[in-house]
Amino acid sequence: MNKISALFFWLAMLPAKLYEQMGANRSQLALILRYKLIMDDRRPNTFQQTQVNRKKEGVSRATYGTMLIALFMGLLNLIAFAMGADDITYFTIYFSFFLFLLSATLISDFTSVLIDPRDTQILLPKPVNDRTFLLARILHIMVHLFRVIVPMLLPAIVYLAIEYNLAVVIRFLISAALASLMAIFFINALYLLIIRVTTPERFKSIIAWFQIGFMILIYGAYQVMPRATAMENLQQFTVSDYSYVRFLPPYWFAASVVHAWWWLLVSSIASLLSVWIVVRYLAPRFNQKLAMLGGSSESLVSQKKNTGSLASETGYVKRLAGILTAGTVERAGFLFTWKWALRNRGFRMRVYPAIGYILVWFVISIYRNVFQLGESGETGLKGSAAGLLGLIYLSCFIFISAIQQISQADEYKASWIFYSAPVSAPGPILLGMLKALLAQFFLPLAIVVSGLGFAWKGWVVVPNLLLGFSNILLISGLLLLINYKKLPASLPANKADGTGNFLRGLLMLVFNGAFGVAHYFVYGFPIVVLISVVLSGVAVWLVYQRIARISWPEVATN
Amino acid sequence: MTETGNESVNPVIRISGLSKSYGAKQVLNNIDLAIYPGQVIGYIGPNGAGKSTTVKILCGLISDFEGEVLVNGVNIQQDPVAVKKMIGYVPELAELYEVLTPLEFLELMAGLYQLDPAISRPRMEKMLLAFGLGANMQQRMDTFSKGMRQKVLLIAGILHDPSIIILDEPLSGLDANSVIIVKELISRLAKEGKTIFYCSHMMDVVEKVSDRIVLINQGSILADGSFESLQEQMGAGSLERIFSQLTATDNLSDTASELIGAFRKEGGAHE
Repeated sequence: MNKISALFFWLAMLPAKLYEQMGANRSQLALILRYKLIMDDRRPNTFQQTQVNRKKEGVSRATYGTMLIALFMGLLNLIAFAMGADDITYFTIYFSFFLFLLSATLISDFTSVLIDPRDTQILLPKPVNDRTFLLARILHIMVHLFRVIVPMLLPAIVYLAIEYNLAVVIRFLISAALASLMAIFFINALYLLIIRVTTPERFKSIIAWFQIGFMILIYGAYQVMPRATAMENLQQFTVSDYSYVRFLPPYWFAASVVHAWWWLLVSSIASLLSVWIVVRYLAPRFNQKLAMLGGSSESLVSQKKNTGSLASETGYVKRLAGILTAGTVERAGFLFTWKWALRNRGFRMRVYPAIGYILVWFVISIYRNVFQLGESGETGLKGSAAGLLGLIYLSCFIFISAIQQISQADEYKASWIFYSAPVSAPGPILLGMLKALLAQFFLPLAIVVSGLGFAWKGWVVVPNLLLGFSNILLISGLLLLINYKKLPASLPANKADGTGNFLRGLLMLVFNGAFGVAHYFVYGFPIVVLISVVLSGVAVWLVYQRIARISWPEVATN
Repeated sequence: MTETGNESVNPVIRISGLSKSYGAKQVLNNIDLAIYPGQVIGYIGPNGAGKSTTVKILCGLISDFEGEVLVNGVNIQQDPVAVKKMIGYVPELAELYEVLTPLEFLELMAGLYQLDPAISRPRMEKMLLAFGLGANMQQRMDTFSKGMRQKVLLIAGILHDPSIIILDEPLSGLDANSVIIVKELISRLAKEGKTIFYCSHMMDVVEKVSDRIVLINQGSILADGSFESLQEQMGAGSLERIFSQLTATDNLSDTASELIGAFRKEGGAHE
């Protein structure tokens, strides 16, 4: 245990006498809590979960990581105090941020840290009574909450102590405590909702989707918010102008800091009521459902579901494979990569956030073009070559993120099928993989970009689009040749070292950017562009031929 | 059906009228079973027969069932903690907290059984050494093979010297020598008077290890007796054959014929 966990452990176990009176076994309780905290330390947190390149052994200070991130979020939350005209606005915005970030952080951490389906198999058969289990779980949740809440509030406390006075700090702390209780209510309600509409088996993957969505949302929010409104407008804004805010929880918490004490009463009643609902109604049902999460063979596998959609899905994928690939081996590589990339949870967790970031970026740039620059009279992306080229060359970033991850899998040992099959060279498999990734992660964006290009500039844009896309095919082929001669899902996920991968990623950006810049210089000369298209096309053909000839000794096996 | 063993003694486990359903699905249907000290029970049945549910009930993981389960005279629904103290459980699927080291994991287990560290610590070290995990005691288990994890779980199951040991597929992932060790361990433990409840698919092992075999299918006991008595009833043959006679809905040999027949239909497309 690290020092902070040890401190929390000591604090949590202070009222040990009380726990004993409540019917818990003191030594067992301490033991479970201590080991839970030790395990927290060794487990990756929300943000590390999506990074595959961690060394498992290295994750031993995970709690410090969580706290640092919470502190960082707390600092970002201080933005609230720069928005609006009065205190009530500052605090309303602050508590909105706080509630949102706290709920979001906790919900993604809850799955890995607090809900461990192995508990049913490992802890429940042990002679420990229910009270002890329940208390251990509650204390664990409390410690976890404090690890997030304390650093998240710290910047605001310091700021308030400097800018305001001690009385405000105290009121603020009370409000924050109440807001935290409400966040717990939100999380429980949301979890229960998820568990109600789906089976426990699918619960985990839904949480994974939620984590992806959460990261995209955060990214999008911090991208959009500063741009959405000009700063001067923001500073004149006050929530008091809108009467409906009185019905929103963040306003209650803000009002208990700023306004009368009776708002504190409202917040307290609301928070305590929500806690009561959690304890009385949500938690028991939740635990029941949760017990089923660990079920193995007995949880009857639902066989009927999905078959219909899967059949139709494979239908069009097969047609796509027929168009894009030549030969059965290449086709097999294509189909396997396509399906694996769509269905593997680990891969999705690692790649889909990148999709979100790119989409956010796309939406923002299109939004600026269509709505904002039109008013101000600037030409923006619509008129400039750089804007369109930016979109073209940016559109392959998702593909780059996908090809970085496609070789890594938890079930990498299953790749024996590639090695044991009578395939004389793995080239066609790799080519099929490349095509599947391009079709899945690049083609849709290419279509969107083409559409935008036509809309903005008409048919004259065709040669430049062709050159751009041909260059991207070339870049992706070269990337595979240089760096990724690795079979899909064939390597353990934690083998690659983080720094090397980061540098490689950087290199790819430079590589990609160099093509973009070169393209920019010839953009205005249609003849040169057309000649470049031909040259680039030939290069693509050569590179893809070379990929098809990759031999077994060339394939990276570690 | 006959029961072997010393019926004169009180049973260690007495299950009467045990039923359990998940929604409309009846998983266990009025099971009666009495198990006596020192018996090695081979508990077999096809997937979904209700094996795991029985095990979960015996371990106190499922408490909402109909019927009565007494362990050494203690009703499991009334005092699950007392029953859990008497039972050592080795789960299937090698479930353990892999971020811990074997020693840490076993210390946690020992603590939950409230063993004195002065006794448990040397015991777990000796057991780890005996299983050949001496060099791995201080390593996190996330790097362990399935067999190594299974060994740690076996130790965790017998560490507190329980009188009843429930093993759910204990041999999965173990190498041949470890299988021999565990089989030997099972018979030694039985000789010491411990009762062993052995759940498995591996018929040949069950046949050799168990002195009483209970075959369950669709929530009901189909056969109960020593291997020899089962052979007498069903006609001679291996346990595998007896098992398939009692549980298979189709003729398994026909299934194999159909598999082979699949080649012929495509006109010898295989090479």
